[in-house]
Amino acid sequence: MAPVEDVRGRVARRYWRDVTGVACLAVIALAIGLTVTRSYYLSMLVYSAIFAIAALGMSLLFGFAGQISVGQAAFFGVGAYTSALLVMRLGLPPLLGMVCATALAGVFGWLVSRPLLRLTTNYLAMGTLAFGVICFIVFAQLRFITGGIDPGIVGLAPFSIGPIVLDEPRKMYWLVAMVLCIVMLLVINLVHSRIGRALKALKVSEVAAAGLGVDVVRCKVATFTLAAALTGLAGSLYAHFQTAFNATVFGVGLSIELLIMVVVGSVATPWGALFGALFVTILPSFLDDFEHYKLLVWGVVMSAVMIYMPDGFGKGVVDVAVSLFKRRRLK
Amino acid sequence: MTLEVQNFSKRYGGLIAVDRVTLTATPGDITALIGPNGAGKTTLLNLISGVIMTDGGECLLFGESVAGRTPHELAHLGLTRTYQSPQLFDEMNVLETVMVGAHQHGTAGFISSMFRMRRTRKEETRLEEQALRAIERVGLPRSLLLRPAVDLAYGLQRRVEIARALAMQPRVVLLDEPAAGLNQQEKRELASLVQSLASDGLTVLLVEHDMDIVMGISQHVVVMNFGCKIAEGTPAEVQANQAVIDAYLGVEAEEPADA
Amino acid sequence: MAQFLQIVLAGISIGAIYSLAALGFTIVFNATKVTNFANGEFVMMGGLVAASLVSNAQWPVPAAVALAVVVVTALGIALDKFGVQQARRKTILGYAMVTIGASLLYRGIMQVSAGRDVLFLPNFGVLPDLRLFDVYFTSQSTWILLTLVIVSGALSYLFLRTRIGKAMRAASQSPRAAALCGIEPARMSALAFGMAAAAGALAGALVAPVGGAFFEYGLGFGLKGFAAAVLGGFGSPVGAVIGGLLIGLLESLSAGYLSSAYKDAVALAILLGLLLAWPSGLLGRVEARRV
Repeated sequence: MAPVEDVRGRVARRYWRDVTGVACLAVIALAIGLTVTRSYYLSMLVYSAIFAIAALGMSLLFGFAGQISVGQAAFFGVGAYTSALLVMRLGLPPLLGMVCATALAGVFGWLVSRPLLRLTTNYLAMGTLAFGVICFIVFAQLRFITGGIDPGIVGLAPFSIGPIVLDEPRKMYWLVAMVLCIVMLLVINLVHSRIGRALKALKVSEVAAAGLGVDVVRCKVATFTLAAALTGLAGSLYAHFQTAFNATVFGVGLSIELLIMVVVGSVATPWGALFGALFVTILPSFLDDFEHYKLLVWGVVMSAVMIYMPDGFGKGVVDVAVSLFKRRRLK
Repeated sequence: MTLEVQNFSKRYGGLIAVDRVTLTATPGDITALIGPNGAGKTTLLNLISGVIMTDGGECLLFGESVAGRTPHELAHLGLTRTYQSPQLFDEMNVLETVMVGAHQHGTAGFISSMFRMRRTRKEETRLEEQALRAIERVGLPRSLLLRPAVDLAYGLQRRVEIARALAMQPRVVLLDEPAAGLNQQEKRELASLVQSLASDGLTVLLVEHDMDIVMGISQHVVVMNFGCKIAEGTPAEVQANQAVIDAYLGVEAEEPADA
Repeated sequence: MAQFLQIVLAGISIGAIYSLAALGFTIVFNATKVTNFANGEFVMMGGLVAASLVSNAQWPVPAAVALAVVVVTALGIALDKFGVQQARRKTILGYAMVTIGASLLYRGIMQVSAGRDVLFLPNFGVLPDLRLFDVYFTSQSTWILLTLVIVSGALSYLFLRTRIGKAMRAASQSPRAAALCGIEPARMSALAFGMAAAAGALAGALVAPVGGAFFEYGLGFGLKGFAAAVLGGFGSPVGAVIGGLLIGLLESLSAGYLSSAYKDAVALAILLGLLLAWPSGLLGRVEARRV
């Protein structure tokens, strides 16, 4: 029988494997930052990183806790508008604005989570969908605050930390890559913890988890709040990178894209959110006139994945690879 | 008297699933709940474990009134249960699954987990040890620890579920047909495991169809039919009870009358 | 007073569309326990396909509407046969995700084939515009309400009197028992999806002369149709009809007297309120379900 220490080593090894992954991510990000010079590519990466941060929140909420939310764009908007308004109207430094935006999005998430999370799957999906659309309508209609759809927010200063102004994709890249690595590490820590186990448990059976002492309501609310905060953080970074945006960004399309990122990447691991965000952000650049075909492509992708590989495309590919590998070994 | 159920009832529209059932269970004893399918046994378990609300009556756990409490609150009071079909968590290996059982013995929240504070790391080690002890207790081999729980054979899955419940360090355990689907060997092992749980001082309420197990290890048997308690007593008393025989245990076929 | 009645009439007209959309949710849910997130797209596609045929191919309106209904019904059945039935993860969440994917797919197909313009069907005509005491009953409104009455009547006859209707009700209450009686659940679910698609397509075609047809409209019809179904009591066809009319009425009244900018938010706010405070709705049966 394997000694206890050996087992414990193997359990811890999974955690350190993921941490090594974050280190690799940091190294790769560093290498890319030092070698890639074309603004276009760096912009793509900046957007990917921004959406990856939001997608990580979605991964925790949907992938781990199993709560479907089709309204996350609302929090992206709260983050973006808060940052924009605090910096433009109140003159706050962008870093402080970002912190406030993240916090405000989190608080907003906390407020709506308690009532929403009492709903079960279908009603939760519809409910969050309705919530997201209502927020979009509010963003679009409150022109005196948000600028609505026309003109929206214009002329937001790029992100700056003290004297360093991040007015180019290259400079913004460093910031978002760093933020992404930090967020990834925090999420990995959470996943490999008592809370992470509790979330996986309640996704399968809330009753069974409750019967083992898991405070299901608090876990769901906290996860939703965290997801909202992360999405708000992403929104804040987006606002500063874009410097100009309007309410159309925060519609149902964004909410669904966030869902697609997690679903296509892999539901079971936070890395899925990262790959999904890359996929969703970069794929459009391969197709000319993508805007025209976007819905069709997402529709095909999502339908195919949800029918045949519901645990996510990433996991589906891994499963196929593993089964092929096993078959070869048997031969 | 650890667990006192008094007049629990449940009706669904016109159907009375549980009709004013009273039973008690004591530490160190195995109290078995038997009866034909549809008698209301699982419904009663659901009532006791807080999964559904009772329509009347009272339940005292260690003297404290707990009718209407949620499963989460009951877990904190030391009551846990297993399910007819093992509710195991996919995507988690055996060790992690059992560690969920130890959840309430930890305090690490979102913030302390995300930042992996030292206090949290120590707690994780402690929870892991608690889980390992529970796994050993039910006799699961170490080699299975990192296997996905849902990949195991049925009998082993049952044991994982029991280990998970034990990791909670409960005082009352409700077992819902733990022997269903097991072969003879597995049943024997399960029976001795349940017995050892009781001899450790736990209060065990066992719902079961396998009469050999029930009569073999229980100190106290409660018989239900059509939602009502129709008999209770020692295994011997219950086996001799005419009402129980008629309803559940079986009647000898009568000889055909001579022409 | 006349203005009030006009607003009420407008509300009931659009409400009838929501009722038809709500019936789509109800029929599918009753037969399969699936909440079809693509239901709104059936409505959208009915209007858009018909309007495209008329605008781009100069088809006569009745033929265009007929073909639109046929096409959308086929797409509805396809969603069941190739989407829902094939789903690997046969859970509530799994089916929800499949239908969400399908809604994107149908929206995308329409965007690519019908283009990005809002298309209008001409009024159906034939029926006259009526005017009673300064209140206008437009021909199209009459068409809409008439269709709702006929469809409701047909559905109730189907479910209460015909063999196949009873088979569907049996299959939804107890699929296994129904299967033992020779009723194929797969056929029943395809039938349900087909019926929902047909009803939705009709609704879309009916509203296309008034509100236009556009590939993004499906979300609105879906959410409002769902709100109507929940308001009336999810699972109750009568409730779906009543709920639709009520939602339409409330929407029209608030647009007329409060603010038209937030018109779309009214139905959504009602939906959220219902889900959070009164999920059983008017005629629904509350299921106290725990896993």
